[in-house]
Amino acid sequence: MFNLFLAVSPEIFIINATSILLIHGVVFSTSKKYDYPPLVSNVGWLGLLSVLITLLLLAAGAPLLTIAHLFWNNFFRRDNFTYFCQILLLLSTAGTISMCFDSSEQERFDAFEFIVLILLPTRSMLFMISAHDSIAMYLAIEPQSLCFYVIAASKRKSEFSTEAGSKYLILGAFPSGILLFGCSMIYGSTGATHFDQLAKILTGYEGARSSGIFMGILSIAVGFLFKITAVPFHMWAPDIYEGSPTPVTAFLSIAPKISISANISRVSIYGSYGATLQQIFFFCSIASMILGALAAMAQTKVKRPLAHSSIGHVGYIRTGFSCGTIEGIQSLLIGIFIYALMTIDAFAIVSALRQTRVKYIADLGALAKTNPISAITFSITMFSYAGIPPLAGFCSKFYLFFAALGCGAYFLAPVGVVTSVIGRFYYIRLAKRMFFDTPRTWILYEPMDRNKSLLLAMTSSFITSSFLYPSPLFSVTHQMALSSYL
Amino acid sequence: MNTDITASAKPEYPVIDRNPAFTKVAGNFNTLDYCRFITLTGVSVTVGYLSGIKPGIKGASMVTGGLIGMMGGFMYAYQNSAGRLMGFFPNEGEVSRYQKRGFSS
Repeated sequence: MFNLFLAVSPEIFIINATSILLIHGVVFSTSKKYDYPPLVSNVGWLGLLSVLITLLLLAAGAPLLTIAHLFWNNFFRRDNFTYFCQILLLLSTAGTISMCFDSSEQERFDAFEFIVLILLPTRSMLFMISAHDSIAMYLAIEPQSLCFYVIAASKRKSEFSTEAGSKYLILGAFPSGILLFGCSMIYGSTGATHFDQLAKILTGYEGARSSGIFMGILSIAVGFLFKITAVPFHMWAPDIYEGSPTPVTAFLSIAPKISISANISRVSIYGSYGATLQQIFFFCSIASMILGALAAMAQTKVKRPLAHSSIGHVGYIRTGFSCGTIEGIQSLLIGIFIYALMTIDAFAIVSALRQTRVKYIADLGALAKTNPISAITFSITMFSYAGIPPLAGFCSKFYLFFAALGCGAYFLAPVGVVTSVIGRFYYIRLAKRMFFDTPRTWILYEPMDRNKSLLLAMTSSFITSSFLYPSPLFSVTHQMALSSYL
Repeated sequence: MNTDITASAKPEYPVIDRNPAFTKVAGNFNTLDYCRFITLTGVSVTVGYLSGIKPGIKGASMVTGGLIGMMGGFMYAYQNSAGRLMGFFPNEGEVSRYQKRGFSS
């Protein structure tokens, strides 16, 4: 009986570690004896250690964790697809926590709860990725969402942060309700919540033979699309990404995309895929790509184009998912992996620049002259976002459009290519501002701290050199995609 | 609640015990398991100490790091030991030891 809990040992560890960190933070941050020390850095390092140990338990115990797949009435499923997404999630969380150490001091942001509120949704997202039942899925999504609402408002002295948290709470509760409504409609029409049962019932289901099933599938899709900021449910994203502290924005840009993409793949590819969902996702992919390319052009702040870029990249990643084939899922995994690395890279630099009060694109004018390495790294990241070969972003988009053409989506791929070209305008504009424009004001940029430098070195080296030997990533993601169909 | 131990991936190595008890798994720790436990604990204590220098809570941070490391190290060692008994990890040592005693069900 005890060994059944081995199947969820990484999750159990991270829950317990988070609880220990919370107690540690509460006791010592309010300690008069230690003069009320700021504990973000201390709890951050211990939190990073917890995430790395969780990663070790997950990666080293992979064959063992498949035991007890009948435990908890099949609520959770462990397979290669789960491992890949969970490992990517934990790496993204580790990267996000690494960004926090110095930026918390510079922005006078000394709430250690911030680190705890990153670890708690990580635990929920680990469960969400492996969820194989509607109830398990919803019970995992809600703690994740609640923590996100709070960390968006974690910078209490900032009106923008408070506004971001309030908006996120209101606009996040709504899709959660829609998602639950969809699950209840599916249950009411089929009597099933488990994805295996849904797969048997809905195999060959085409069109709206049952209005209940159709409404359920539509509501679930809307709930998920809202959470990953896909068009037309994206309106909240730029304001919330702009108002939140920069490491929070990085976390919100990466982590939920991984977990929700994994979950929606399980729900729809395994559980209930059909023409209904495919049309919805095709439309949202195209709309996200177009809006992500066009809306960022008018932005003048540094973070808002990145928010719109995130919306656009959701569209590209949805392209792979919309195909409904193994190559589509493989391209989705490749896309998410490379997107996570690029986003960590971009936000690490933005976080370093925020320390010198850089908020507007016009403030980047002196960066190439004072910090040329930072400028070059930022430019490389932007070119990778734009899909310029031979950087990693090009490989990601190439494979996504290749998968779209392979499944017969002959309209989707050209739209993606055209929107990529249009989107290059604002990516290259940032590089032009850094290298060729006269600075509006001369800003002395502070040197980047060691943690961010190391993070940037790792992510940038992958972005620039992955084209030399991409086959490990391709073979691993192919295996992961195959396992999602078994 | 279904408490049957079955795995979606079949064990590659001889199965000593399909569902070993906690005491049996903990008693099956080998030298490498203890090394894992001690290493993780040591690393965590060190991280806790170093991260506690700046806020001035070295000792307390060391203890917290030690707790996290002990828990993680024990879970890692337990995972490996259980995996060897269940046949998921290489287990020549366990096979030879239990062959002498006779396999338990």
